[in-house]
Amino acid sequence: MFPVIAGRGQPCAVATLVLALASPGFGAVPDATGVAVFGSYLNALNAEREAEHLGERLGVALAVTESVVADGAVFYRVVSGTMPERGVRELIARAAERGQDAWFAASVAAVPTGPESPDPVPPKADRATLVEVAPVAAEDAAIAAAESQGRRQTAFDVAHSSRSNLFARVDLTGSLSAESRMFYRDAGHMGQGSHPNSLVGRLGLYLEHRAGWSFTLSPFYRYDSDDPSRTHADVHEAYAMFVGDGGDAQWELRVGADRVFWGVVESNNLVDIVNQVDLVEHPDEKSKLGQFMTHLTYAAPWGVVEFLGMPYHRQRTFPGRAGRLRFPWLVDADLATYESSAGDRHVDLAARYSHTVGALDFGISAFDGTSREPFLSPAVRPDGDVVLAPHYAEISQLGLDSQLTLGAWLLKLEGIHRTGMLNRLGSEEAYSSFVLGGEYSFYSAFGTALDVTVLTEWCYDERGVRSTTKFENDILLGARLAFNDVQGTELLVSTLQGADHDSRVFSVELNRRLSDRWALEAEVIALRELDPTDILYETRRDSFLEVGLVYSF
Amino acid sequence: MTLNLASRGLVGGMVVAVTTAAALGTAAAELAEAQQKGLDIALEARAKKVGFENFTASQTMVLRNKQGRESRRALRVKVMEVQDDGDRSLFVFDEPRDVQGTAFLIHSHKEAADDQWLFLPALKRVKRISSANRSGSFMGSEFAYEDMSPPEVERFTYRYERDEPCGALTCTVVERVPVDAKSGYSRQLVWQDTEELRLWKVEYFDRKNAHLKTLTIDGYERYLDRYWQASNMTMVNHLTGKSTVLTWEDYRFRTDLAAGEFTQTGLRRIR
Repeated sequence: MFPVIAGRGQPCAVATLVLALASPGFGAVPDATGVAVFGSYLNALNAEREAEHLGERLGVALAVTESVVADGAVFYRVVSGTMPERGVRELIARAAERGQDAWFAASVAAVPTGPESPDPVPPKADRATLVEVAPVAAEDAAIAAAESQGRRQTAFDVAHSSRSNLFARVDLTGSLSAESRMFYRDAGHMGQGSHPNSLVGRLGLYLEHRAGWSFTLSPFYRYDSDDPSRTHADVHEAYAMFVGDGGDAQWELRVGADRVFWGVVESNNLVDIVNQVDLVEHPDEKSKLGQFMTHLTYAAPWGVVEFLGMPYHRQRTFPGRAGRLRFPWLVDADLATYESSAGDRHVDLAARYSHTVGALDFGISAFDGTSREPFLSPAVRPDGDVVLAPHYAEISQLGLDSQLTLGAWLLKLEGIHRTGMLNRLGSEEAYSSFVLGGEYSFYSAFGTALDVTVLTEWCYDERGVRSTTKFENDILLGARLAFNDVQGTELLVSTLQGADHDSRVFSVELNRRLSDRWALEAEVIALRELDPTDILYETRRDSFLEVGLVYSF
Repeated sequence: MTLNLASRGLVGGMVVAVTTAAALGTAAAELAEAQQKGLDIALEARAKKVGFENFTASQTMVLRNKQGRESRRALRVKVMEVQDDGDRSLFVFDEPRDVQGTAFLIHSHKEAADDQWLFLPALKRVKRISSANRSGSFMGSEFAYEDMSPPEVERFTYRYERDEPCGALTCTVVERVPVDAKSGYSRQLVWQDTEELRLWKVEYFDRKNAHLKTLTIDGYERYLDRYWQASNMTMVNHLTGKSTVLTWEDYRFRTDLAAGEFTQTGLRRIR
């Protein structure tokens, strides 16, 4: 309703301001003309809304001007028309009567003043630049303006959160943990230790540029006292992210190393194919290595589409000689072979469409490229040692993941169809595999604060005994206990039981916070009655207890 | 409760009415009137909150047990108003540090169950979670999940009780009964001032109708000249002696939040 004039792209206006700031004594101009400033906004639209709303209440025409403070931040100010200081003061007093804060800002001398009429008119674009009389520094004035609107410095406040010239936000977080694993049975293979201790460090650096893009860096390091192969570093994340808005849709581009999780079930995330498994971290195959990629996401009201291009393949990590949870033969990554003639430089492609329709969340994904899972075949090293050589085949995979959330019930399904993979016999076999599961939660169980969730999942691989995973036909039964206490104590108990043979894996996980920064983690994995045909058979003596202490900052 | 009300109405009715039948008729009319007035107050309070578009704020929670031992929570909150539906809220945890970066997205609905998602930064996993947990504790505090989500008008039935002074103001006292059978409360008593319909006190009664908790609110400030927001909310649990003080800071209204931040993709971007 008002001619809103923002001095967008006005280099002369900026120059005037800089000049004014450079000249001493500018703050003490007698009988100055100026405007009443009612607030400063980072968003032009918010400023326009406020100008309209306040203008109606005070019965004057208010306008929006663009203002650049010393460090380059742009604010949109709600201002009155230019008039003599006395008039401005009267308007400020009128505003104050209505509970609205405002302050006087003098015009730069070089800028022509508005007509001295009792009814102020909105300033023109060429008069938009203002110099603050008080507070002294322009940036402080901007902060004071923000405060007058009931706003103060927050992490969300792009312009205020940092004094840095380049970055709107700089965050450094991380954790250090000490872990101790105790394998309570004697080693089954030559050279294995029984009591490895570990130190783990994680860092997370987040830089958000004023222009809106951000950079994330998350390095990881583990030192293991027994196994040099478990002592390793990785860059989980090192990516730049750009986000754009297009009406009711948004796009997002990430370039660099990142981790992408797809899936819904708890036991075996079949569809989660983007990142390589960091197997030395944990036998549950849920720890992943960073993957270099270009990842484009388009989120529209009709769903989310993602495209990923991955130019570099990462090999799976395997325990070394002193490590437990391994085959009798070591896996030698130096002997790795690739089906692709491009070796580990094959460009893998992936795409996913996901959407939420009421109680249903689902995703359909496709992958074409080098398998993350290797086929291991015996090989003889030049020094005469027999080892396992990993072979990475070229595969195609279609995946579906879906979850129905109905009250306290969660019903989950993950399924894949994969071609190009070698089976346990070493021949290529196309196959399908799925995990079907359900969870039910008893909230505030037994009249206490305790939440009990029971879950079951059925993992099925149609290759059966020719399957290359431990989930060929198994049933997971589990219970999650959330105590909802101040320490956030959680206990997860589960068993994975072979449906057509005796093998059983018991697992107990406990997490408890000790203070605001310290937390305790404990885990037991017990491998029982493993069948000689089971892929885990060679690890049958590797049941362990792990206790960890984590410090987060 | 209805019986209780009817008998109270009966006592009132006896004074003017000659027959029992007439008294019951009066009681029914009084009940209908009290219910209508209670609903009117709730609707008017909602009307006062409409139009804020969005806001961001910081929350600090201090959890105190009976022995006085304290534990701190720090969160960032973003809320977006949705036309003709419940608000969308985003909670990002900064403290305790072991859950730093965990984010919680709620699409609340006026009548249907809420949609909720959790972002777990360690796995970079977005999980759709059940919203059936209404009465459970939020982060170990004395606030239940249902206390944290905005009280949509449709989620209660109302009955006006009385007016009474509260400080320098006059407050209406309204009883509201949760519609959801999963609510941990049989009823709540709500104190709102007559001028701006700001909430000053809520008494919560558990399923056994015992006075479980009391919430007191103060430090109101006005934003955009219209929206009153509290700075301090204190929840005391009378059964356990524990309390939680929730402090709101850095309210900013009508920021440049995009709707895309309140989606699963937006949740993945949270830092």
